[in-house]
Amino acid sequence: MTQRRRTAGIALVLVTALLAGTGLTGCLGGEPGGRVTVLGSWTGAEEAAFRAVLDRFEADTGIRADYQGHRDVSQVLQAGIERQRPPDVAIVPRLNDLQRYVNEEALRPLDDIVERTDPGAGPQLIRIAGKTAPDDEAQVYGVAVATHLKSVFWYAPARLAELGHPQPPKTWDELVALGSDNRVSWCLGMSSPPVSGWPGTDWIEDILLHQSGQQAYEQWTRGDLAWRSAPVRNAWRAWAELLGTAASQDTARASLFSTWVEAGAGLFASPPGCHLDHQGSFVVRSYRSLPNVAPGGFDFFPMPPIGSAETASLQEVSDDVAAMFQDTEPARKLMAYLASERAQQIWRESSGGLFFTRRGQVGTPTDPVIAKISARLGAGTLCRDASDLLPAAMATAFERAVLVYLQRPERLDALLTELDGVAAAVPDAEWMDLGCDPAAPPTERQGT
Amino acid sequence: MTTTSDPRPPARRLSTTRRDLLRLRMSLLVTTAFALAGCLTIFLGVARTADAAATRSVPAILAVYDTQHALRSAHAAAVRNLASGGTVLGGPGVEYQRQIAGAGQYLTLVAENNAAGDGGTRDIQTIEALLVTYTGLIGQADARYRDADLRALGAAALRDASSLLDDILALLDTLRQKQSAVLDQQVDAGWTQRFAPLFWLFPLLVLGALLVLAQGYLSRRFRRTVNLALLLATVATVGMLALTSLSLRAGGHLDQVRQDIQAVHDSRQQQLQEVAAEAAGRLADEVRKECPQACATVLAGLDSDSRTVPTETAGDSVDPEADTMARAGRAAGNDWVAFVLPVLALGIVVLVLAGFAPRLAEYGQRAT
Repeated sequence: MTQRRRTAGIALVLVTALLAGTGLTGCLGGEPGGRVTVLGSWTGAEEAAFRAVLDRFEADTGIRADYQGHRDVSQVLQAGIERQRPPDVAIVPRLNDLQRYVNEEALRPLDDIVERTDPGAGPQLIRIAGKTAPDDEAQVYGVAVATHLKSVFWYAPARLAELGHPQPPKTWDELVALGSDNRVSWCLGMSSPPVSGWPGTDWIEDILLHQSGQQAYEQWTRGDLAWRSAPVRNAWRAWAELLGTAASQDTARASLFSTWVEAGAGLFASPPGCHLDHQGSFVVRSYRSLPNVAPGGFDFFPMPPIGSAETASLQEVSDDVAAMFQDTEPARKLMAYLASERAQQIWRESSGGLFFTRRGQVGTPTDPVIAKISARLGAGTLCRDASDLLPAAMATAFERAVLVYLQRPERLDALLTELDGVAAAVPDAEWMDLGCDPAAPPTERQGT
Repeated sequence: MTTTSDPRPPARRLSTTRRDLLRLRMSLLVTTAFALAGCLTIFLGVARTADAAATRSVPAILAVYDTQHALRSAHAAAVRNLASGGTVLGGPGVEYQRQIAGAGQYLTLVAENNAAGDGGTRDIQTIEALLVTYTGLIGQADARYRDADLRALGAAALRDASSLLDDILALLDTLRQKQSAVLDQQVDAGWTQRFAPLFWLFPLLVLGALLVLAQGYLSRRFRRTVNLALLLATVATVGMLALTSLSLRAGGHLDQVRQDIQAVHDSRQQQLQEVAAEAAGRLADEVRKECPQACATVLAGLDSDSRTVPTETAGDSVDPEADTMARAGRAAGNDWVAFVLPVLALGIVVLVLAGFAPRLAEYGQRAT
């Protein structure tokens, strides 16, 4: 009997230990560091490069980062917020989305997460005041994790040289003269669903900035300059003059059906589909993905000043801005990490050097085109993409106006009147006053 | 035990018989309990799995296909109506509205039956958001088509909508794959594996063997031809075995459901390709009208999309979706067994007690 009891006791202990062990293993097999959901606009190769950054974060912290990427990130984010299921962190290409969510008190401030812990991140921080707060009470609500240079024209030097243009234009008049050469054509692609037309808005913004200067540009982006005012109207007209759309309806018509990627590929087609491409620095990725594009096969020149304006040091840029919608420890750690130099170094490596930031650029890249982009982002004044700053209704109307203008340039007055009507209907609290900032100078450390 | 302390030989022989009877009865009762536990565990496991598959995974997967088909049909209707409609009375048309509404309802069905957890919910939320953008683009196309000077912009908006629709359908594919992965887990769950029957079959076989042994023992020891109560208990054991083996059939049905879904997939892909080709063909005609000179690349892509590639559809079923739902229902349709099994086990217990009672009473009286 004693033997039997002992055996039963041992069995009981073994079973208890087994169950406890199973439970413990179950706990250990979970997510010890927690979980953070991330929404962004990157897909394909860009997503792969960003995932490499998140992979390192996961390895360092044990926090699982679930990334979901889609090109219509604004709409997806809005749906998530309306359903009380926002992502923990979202990386938005439109800065004005942040203003809206600050007004709705859906965003969490980042002052004690980034500003006080990483002084080097200063140029990346975006301070926004809520609709009821005075401007001097603005808090950090966004971190510009990636920045793109926009005020540039891309071209294939050999192709232009074949047409008798060995040097890129240095002035607006030289650019107009180059464009008026019948053999030289523009790469125009306006299709980019769901926000087709933005490549055209970049043109208008860039021209306005370099024709009327920083002050007029900033007035316009915060809603203080009418669309029917001379600086804005002149920018539209200068664009039409440069493109010659009135004379070449085929180019304008084709641009409605071509994406900016398809249009840019024309630089390297045989025979060339086009010779000049006004596009942001992110276009380098699509150029590199094309067959038969050799190193040195493309280069860029900056948007020249227009008229007598001293605007050579002004550059339009766009930012991908990370913001926190759920104040959790994993989300805080991810925000601090994304703003850090370490994450950006990993990003630079995973993207083949095609990653730029407002933080002082590190070292000198070996690729001459990338080195030129880095140098430009580290000098002069960087002005944020106007349509990223404009309220959503205004930006959408602007994009649509560009498409109509390309097809019917004679409707400019009607379009500008309608745009003023839209601007008047936008509540004051939705306009942003971020405009331009001086670039952060490069640091001396050797880069890759 | 009072008999163990009795030194008299006859009493010792009588107590041994009583002890054997008690042990045999106890063995039968304990084995019955184990058999019931094994049978119920396995049966409920299979039933829960089959129920989850029949009421969540399979309807969710089929609703994803329905959503995709409704969206493709809506787009084809919009292109057809906008391209051929007038500038005043035009518009994407009633069929477009009907199909979009249907797509929304199917997506709600997916959300209700979503078996893929948070990941599935997030995908559904994204798809719903993109549907808003998609319908906005169709609305934009409609507005452009109403202005005779801006028909090219209308066609461009249709192309944008088409591109976004491809994204939405790809997201739906991902969502379906997540639901299918859950179904795979359900079909391959431990309850439906080949080794699972051992868990319940072994105790039942032991119970059957003990009942036969008890019948033989009583027959030899008391010269009775047959103990009716134990015979009935043996029949009840066979009943438990037969009922629990239904779980094997449910597992088989689930496996077949997976193959049925592949047949649905093949059939739906063919339908989707045909509808997509129709829309691409009409859109190509529109682009050709609006941009005859400089849109060769775009037109080449649309012309390519407008050519359908015939695919062989698997199986001869007229309505593979109905077949799939029916089979999934059959896999999950044996809930009553979970109530009958304990009744049978209780019956066995009563019959065992009843079968042994007269002999124990007899030996109990002799022993005292």
